[in-house]
Amino acid sequence: MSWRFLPFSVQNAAMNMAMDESISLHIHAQRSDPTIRLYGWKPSAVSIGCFQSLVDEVEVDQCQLQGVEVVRRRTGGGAVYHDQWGEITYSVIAPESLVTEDINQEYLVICGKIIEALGVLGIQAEFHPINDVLVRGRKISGSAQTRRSKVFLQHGTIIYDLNTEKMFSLLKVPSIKLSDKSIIQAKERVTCVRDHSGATKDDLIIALKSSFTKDLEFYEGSLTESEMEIARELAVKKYSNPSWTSSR
Amino acid sequence: MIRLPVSHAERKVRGGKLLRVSVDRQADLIRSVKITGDFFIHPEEDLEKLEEAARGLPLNRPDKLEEAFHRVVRENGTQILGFSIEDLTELMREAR
Repeated sequence: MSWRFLPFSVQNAAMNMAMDESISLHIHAQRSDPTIRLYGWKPSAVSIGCFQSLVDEVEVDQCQLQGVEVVRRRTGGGAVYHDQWGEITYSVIAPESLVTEDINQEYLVICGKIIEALGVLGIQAEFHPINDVLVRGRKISGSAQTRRSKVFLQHGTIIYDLNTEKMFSLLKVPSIKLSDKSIIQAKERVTCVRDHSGATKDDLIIALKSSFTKDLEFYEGSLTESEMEIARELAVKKYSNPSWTSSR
Repeated sequence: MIRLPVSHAERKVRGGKLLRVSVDRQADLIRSVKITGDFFIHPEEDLEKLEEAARGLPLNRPDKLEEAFHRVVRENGTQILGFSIEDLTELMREAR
């Protein structure tokens, strides 16, 4: 079984989510190989989990003011700021038969690949259940998984560089009583590659490709025409659609 | 005490995720509930089943709520990552 590796590419928020879903649909139809993607977001964007309330999690007005797009994922989990320059997202999309049956175990397995990549850059990271990777207690990566129609998708973020002022101007800090203290606490809970290593973003991309494809038979490829067509349609009809984005 | 038609409550579950409920109630009956947060539910559609299960139930009978939620989980093989049914039921009581 050969895996397809899609080299780092940059798209807007709707297209990124649409590509993940289109690939999933094609894998379900047995028209595509299991796929690993690395990608970036242009412009910067906030993605929210499918169970989150948009207005509870995102400063929508600020996003608009700052030209930051907002998209709702088809996976659960939390609100993520995908900085155009400071963040890399990965997706692993495969028939469910190729991954562990246990949801928690698979988070561990894939986060293990992120930890390995960070290790190559000289960063000691650790898995924090359910779905996070921490460096010295601070979150550097989060992931979200779904298994629909027997197709596994896990995607997640690795923070290369971090502007906490910007991030917390866009994401609402979940707190019953907003205070300066809670914002400070939120900032102290996140970190980035640049805080711990002199590695470049390209170094990170290379390390991620290496750890994700290790022990796999793989080829470098691109989306098929059909995948692109479906992705474009999903980007317009679903992921750019306010009725989906504001559905909770 | 002013009783609002929609009550909210949220909780960061220990070792879990943030769970929020918004309960739309008529007297002590649940008209509807919206459950949101950064948790995971597999399959994802089962969140709506949980919300539907609470409809029409009395807020002052947490045992019935819990029973209804457990039934959804049992019948659908639902996996919830980030909160327990007990967390959900307690939170709905707090939202009163």
